[in-house]
Amino acid sequence: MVIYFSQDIIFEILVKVPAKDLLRAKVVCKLWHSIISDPNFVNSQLAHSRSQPAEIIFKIYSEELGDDYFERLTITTQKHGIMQVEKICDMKFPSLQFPCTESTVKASCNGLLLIFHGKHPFETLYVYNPVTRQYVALPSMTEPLGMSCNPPRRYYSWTLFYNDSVGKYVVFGTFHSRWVVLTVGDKEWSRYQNPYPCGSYRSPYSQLIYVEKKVQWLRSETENGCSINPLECFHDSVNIGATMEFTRTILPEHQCNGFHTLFEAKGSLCFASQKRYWLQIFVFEKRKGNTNWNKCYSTNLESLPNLPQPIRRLNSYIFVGTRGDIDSRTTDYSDVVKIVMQHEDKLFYYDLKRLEYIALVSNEVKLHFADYNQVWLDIYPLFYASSLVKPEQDIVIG
Amino acid sequence: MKDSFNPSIEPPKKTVTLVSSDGYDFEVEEEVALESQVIKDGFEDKAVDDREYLLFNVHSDTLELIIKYCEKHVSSRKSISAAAASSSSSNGEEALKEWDEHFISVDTNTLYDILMAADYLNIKSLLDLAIQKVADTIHGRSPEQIRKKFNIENDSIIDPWASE
Repeated sequence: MVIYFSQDIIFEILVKVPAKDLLRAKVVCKLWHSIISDPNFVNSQLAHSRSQPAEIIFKIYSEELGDDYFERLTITTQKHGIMQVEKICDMKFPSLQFPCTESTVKASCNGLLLIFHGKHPFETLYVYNPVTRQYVALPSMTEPLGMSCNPPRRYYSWTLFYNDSVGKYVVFGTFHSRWVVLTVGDKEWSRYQNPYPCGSYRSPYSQLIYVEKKVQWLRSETENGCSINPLECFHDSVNIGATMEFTRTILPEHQCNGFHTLFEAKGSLCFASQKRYWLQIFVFEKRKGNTNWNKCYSTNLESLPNLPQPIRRLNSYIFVGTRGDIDSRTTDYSDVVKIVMQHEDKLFYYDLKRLEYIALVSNEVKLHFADYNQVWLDIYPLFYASSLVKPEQDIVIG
Repeated sequence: MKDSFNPSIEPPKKTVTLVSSDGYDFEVEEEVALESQVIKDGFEDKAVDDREYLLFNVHSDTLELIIKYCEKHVSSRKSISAAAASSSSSNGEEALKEWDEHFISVDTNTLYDILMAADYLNIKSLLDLAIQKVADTIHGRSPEQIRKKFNIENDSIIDPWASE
């Protein structure tokens, strides 16, 4: 039997194929090659990939093995909600200038990863597509960021986002009271000083999130993460544009001195705070003309049913803001965070909506926690949707 | 004759006749046939008494499956909205998803026939279902296996995967 699908049908079929498989599909024939190479196709495939439940990349920090050691794992949401964990080390990193096995993923956007590779002070940043293996090495900074106090690498905060007003990807990093910005493809970093300089180093204690054309993060005026005093906790943001305007607001009254996660949900900035057994979620949104933090969810974690018992340590909870699998029609915020928790040598993913947990690690992938007392979760959740996007290509998301 | 005074007797359902490419007649309820956007558009344009559609591109084997799909979706939609109206809990959508998954698990040729018929009749949900199923078959396959599956001649000048 001879099948002749129309070109439109082939386009529709290929859009739904994961990016990894498209590399092979590209050499099937000339027609498929020309379809898959087309920028419109790349954008359609990305849009489809983003509409699917995202993969989450996270890291596990191990005390035992020193400051710079990270196990890297990805959580892949598969059909029917079954999770799979893969080692991100299986993603092939580019051949790099310095022979070094240390590389960490700092940020993720549209299938591209921001990778920090190499030993201090010779680190290089790469924007890398792990599917196509295309990458751009970013220019080094003439005056290295934070060189003077030789900070551990993990205190740098970075983000990568697509700036649709210029049609390019942008890398943003912050440390101390400064921030640096580079449009991918440019030769020079732009450097800025925030208007609230401070003496000792105070880095953001949350992820950097790009929402509504602003890079936003949480920061406190004390040395160790969030302050006990809510008045010393701030929400900082930089407006990405010609002026790069910096704004600072205080956080709402919340359970401080606990764990915080800043994330995007339903197009708005959210933050989850947890202290002891209390979890609260706030959303930064406009109500009655004013943009403010509004509490949208609060629960007692102790009262949650179906937890793996006994939960060994409270700091083994991490909140992961979800993206991609949120029902935007509801105002129910129980589905905007999922809780990743460690129980002995296993990881679980707790769903506040379904009130159940799923073991993250299948039998094939072991976490290799030699002594799980020495390991805690240090998670920067990065949402990853595979795509064929080129690091330097101008794209338009339809 | 229609007895409009007795509410327990439902009025006879309006039907439409679909004729397959190999000349078989299928009598289906109007609302089932209207799942096809093409029939729906034609229906709105045509005179009311013309209730026969010749489907030159759809074989009777495929048409039978398509009708089965449309009937299931029409009846499920009704029971889902009925459950929503009485605010009783329903796993109707989940069950329909499972039914779809089972429905589309067919051999390659049947799948392609369904895809092309869904495209020709413009039944969006069925077309999406079939396209996703075909897309799934590409996963993990080598270029040569894909060519075989899709009956494509290798016209590539360079095939870096040929040695695999």
